[in-house]
Amino acid sequence: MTSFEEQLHTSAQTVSLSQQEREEMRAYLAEYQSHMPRRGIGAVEASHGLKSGFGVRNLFGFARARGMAWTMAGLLLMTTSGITYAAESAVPGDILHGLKVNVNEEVVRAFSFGAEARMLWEARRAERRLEEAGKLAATGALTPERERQVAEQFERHIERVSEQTAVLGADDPARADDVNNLLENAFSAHEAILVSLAIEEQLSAESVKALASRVRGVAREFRRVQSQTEEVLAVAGEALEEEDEQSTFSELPVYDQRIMVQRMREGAEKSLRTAENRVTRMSLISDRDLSTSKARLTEIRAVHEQARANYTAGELELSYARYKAVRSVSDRLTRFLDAQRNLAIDALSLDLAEELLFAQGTTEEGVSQIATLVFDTLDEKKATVEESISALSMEEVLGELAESDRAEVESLLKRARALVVRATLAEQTDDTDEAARFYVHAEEVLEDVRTILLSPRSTDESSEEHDRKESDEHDRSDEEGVELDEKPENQHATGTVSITQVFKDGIHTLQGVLDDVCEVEATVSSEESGLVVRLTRTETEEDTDACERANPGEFTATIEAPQNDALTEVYVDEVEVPHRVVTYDDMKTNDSDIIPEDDKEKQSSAPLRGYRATNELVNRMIDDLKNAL
Amino acid sequence: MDQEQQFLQAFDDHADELFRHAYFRVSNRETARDLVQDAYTKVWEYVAKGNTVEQFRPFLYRTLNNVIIDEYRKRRTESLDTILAEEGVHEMRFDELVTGGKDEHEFALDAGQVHDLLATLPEHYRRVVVLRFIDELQPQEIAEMIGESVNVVSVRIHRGIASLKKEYARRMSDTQSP
Repeated sequence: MTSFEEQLHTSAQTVSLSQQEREEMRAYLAEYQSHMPRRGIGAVEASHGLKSGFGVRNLFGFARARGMAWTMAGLLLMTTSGITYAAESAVPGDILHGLKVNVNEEVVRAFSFGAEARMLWEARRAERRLEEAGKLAATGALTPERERQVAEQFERHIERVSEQTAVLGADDPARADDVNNLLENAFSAHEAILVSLAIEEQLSAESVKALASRVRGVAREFRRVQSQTEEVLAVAGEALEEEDEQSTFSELPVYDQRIMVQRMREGAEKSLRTAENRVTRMSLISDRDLSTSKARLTEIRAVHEQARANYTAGELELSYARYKAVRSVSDRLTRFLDAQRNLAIDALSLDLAEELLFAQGTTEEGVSQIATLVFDTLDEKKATVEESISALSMEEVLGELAESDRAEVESLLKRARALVVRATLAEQTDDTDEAARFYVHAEEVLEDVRTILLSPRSTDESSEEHDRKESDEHDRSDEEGVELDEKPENQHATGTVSITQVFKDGIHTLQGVLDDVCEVEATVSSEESGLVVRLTRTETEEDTDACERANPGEFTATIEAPQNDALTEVYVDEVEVPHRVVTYDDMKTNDSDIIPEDDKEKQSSAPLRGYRATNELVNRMIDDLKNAL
Repeated sequence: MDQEQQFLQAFDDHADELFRHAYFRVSNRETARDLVQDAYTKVWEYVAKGNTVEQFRPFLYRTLNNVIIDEYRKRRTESLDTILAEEGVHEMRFDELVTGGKDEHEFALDAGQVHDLLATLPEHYRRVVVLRFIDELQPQEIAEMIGESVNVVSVRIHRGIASLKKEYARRMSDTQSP
C-alpha cells in the first residue's frame, strides 16, 4: 500500500519544465550573467533608474526557440558577435540602429516574463529613444526627419507600455499604480533634459521642443492613469481626472500600510544610493560643477531622515509620502547627472522638485500661494517674463559686464528661457498651475540677473593692476621729489592710457586720449592674446604747444572681432604701456567733473578731455540700462 | 568552479525541482516559471555584487520562497496576517506526526490531483507540505528557510496532510456516491 505522502511525492515528480522552457530560461540567465558580471570583473552599472537592456552574444538558444527563420540571422550575428554590442551605441541614422531596435531589444522583450517586466522594458526602450535623440541634438544632428523617426518609435514603445499597464492593472492595481508613478517621473525628467537641450542647441531647437512636448504628454498620461490609492499629498491645483479619487492609504490595515511603506523605503533607498554613487563617480572623473547636485542630495537626505522618523513614530502615511518623494527626486537627479555627463547640459536647474517642498513641510496652502502669486492671468505673467528676458539679454546691458558676471548672467537667462519653454509645454497640456509655477521660478531667476546687473561682483583685472602701479608710481615720485600734478577725480596715473571699449553690432570701438600728444594714429588688431592697440604719435611733444587740434591726443580705433575679445596690450610708438579699460563706474559723472566752457586751464587737461569725449556715449548707455531695468 | 559556472550548474541541477515547488505553491504554470526565473535572477544579482554563495540549493529555495510570498502579497488571496501569523502550537515531535497505521487508505494520485488538492490548502500549510513531501526537505531545513521553529513546522505539516487526506476522501466519496 502506498502512503498518501509517498503518492504525493511520486506524482508531483512528473511536473517539470519542458525542454524549451529550460533552454529559454538558461539562455536568458546566461545573457543576464554577461550583462551583469560579478563585481571586480568588469562590472557595468545600469545608467538609469530602470534596468538597461543588453546585447545578445549567443543567439543559438534564441534561434532554436524561434525556429529556422532566425537561424540565418543568428549564425550571422554569431560570426560577428561584436556587431551586436556595437549596435548598442547606435543612434537613428546609423546602420546598426535597426539591429539595436529590432533585434537586440526584441530579444530582451522575448525573455521578459510578466506584465510588469515587459512594461518596464518597453518604457526603458522608450527612454533609449529619447537618449538617442539627445545625442543627436547635442551634435546638431536631430533633423525634423530624425525627430519624426524617433517620435514614431517612441510612441510605439509607449503603446506597448499602455497595453501591459492594462494587464498589470487588472491583476495588481497597486503595483500598476507604483510602476506608473516611476514612469511618469522618468519621462518628466526627460522632458526637462530635452528642454535644456533645446535652449542649448539652437540648431535642433524646434525638433527637440517637439519631442519634449510629446514626452510631456506621455508623462501626463502616466499621471492620469495612476490610481490615487497611494496619493497622499496632492500637489495643489493638479487636475485629477477622476473626481472620486482620494487617498485610501489610511483605509488599509496597518500591517499592509507597513508593507507598503517598507517597499517604498526600499525603492527610495535604492534610488538615493544610485544618485549618490552617480555624484561620487562624476566628481572623480570630471571637473564639472556638482554643487547644485550635492545640494539637492542634501535636501533629499533630509527628507529621507524625516521619513524614517515618521515610520518610527507610527506616522505611516506621512512616511510613505516622504519616501516616495525621495525616490522620485533621486531618480530624476540620476537622469540629470547622466545628461550632464553625456550631453553637457544642466537640466537639474529646471527641476522644481516640489515633492521635496511638500515633504519638508510646505503646506498645500503655501503652494497655492506660489501658484497664484501677484498676477491675474497666466498670459500676463508670460508676457511680463518674456519681455524681461528680452530686455535683460540686450547687448547694451550685457556688454559692460565683466567676463565672469556676464557668463553667470547668460547662464541665468538660459535657465529662465528654459523655464518659459517648460511653462509653455505645461500650458499645452492644460497644466496651468504647473505653468504658473514655472513662470514664477523664471521670474525669480530674472531677479538674480537684475541683482548682478545692479551690483556687479567682479573687478576688472587691469584696474587692479593700475591701482598697484599707481601706488608704485606715487612711492617712486616721493623718493625722487617730483611733484605730481594734482589729479582731478577719477584721473589716472601718468603713463597709463585709459581706453574705453564698446562692442556693438560685431564691432569693437576703442577710444582714449594720449597725454601730451597733439596727433596720434591708432590701429587695433586681433591677436592670439586678444585685442592689441598700437598708437603712433605723428606729432612730437614740441609740437603740442602749437597743436591746433580740437581734441589733441584723442584716438579711436575699430575692429570687427568676437564679442569676448578683450583689450590686452597697448603700444605707444612700439613700446608697451600700461593701460586701463574704463568701465561704467569710472565714467560716472558728477558736478565736479563738469568743466566750464571758459575754463581753459581745466579744458586743457587731457584725461578730462577724454572723459568729455566719451560722456555722450556713456550717458546713452546708462539710459538704455535704466530703461531695460 | 567559479561562481558563474556554479550558478549555471545550479540551474541545471535544481531548475526543475524549484519549478515544481513553485507550481504547487501558486497553482499556475506560467506564474511558476516567472517566479523561478525571478529567483535565479535575484540570486545572480546577489552574486554579482561580490557575494559568494556556498550552497546554491538552499539559497535558491529561500529566494524562491520570498518571491512566492511577494506574489501572494500582490494577489492578496489571503490576509497577510493569516499567512504570516504564528499559530498556537504544542510541543510535539515530528516522529509522532508521521502518518501511517490504521488511518491509511489506498491512494492513487496523479499530478493533476496533487495540484488540485494542494490548491485547497491555506498557503502556510501548503508551503511546508510542498517543501516536505515534494522537495523532500527535512523539517529542520524547512524551519531555517521560513524562519519558524521546528515545532511549528511539524504541526503545520501534520495539519496540512490531514487536511489533504480529508479533502481527498471527500472527493472520493462524492465520485462514488450515487
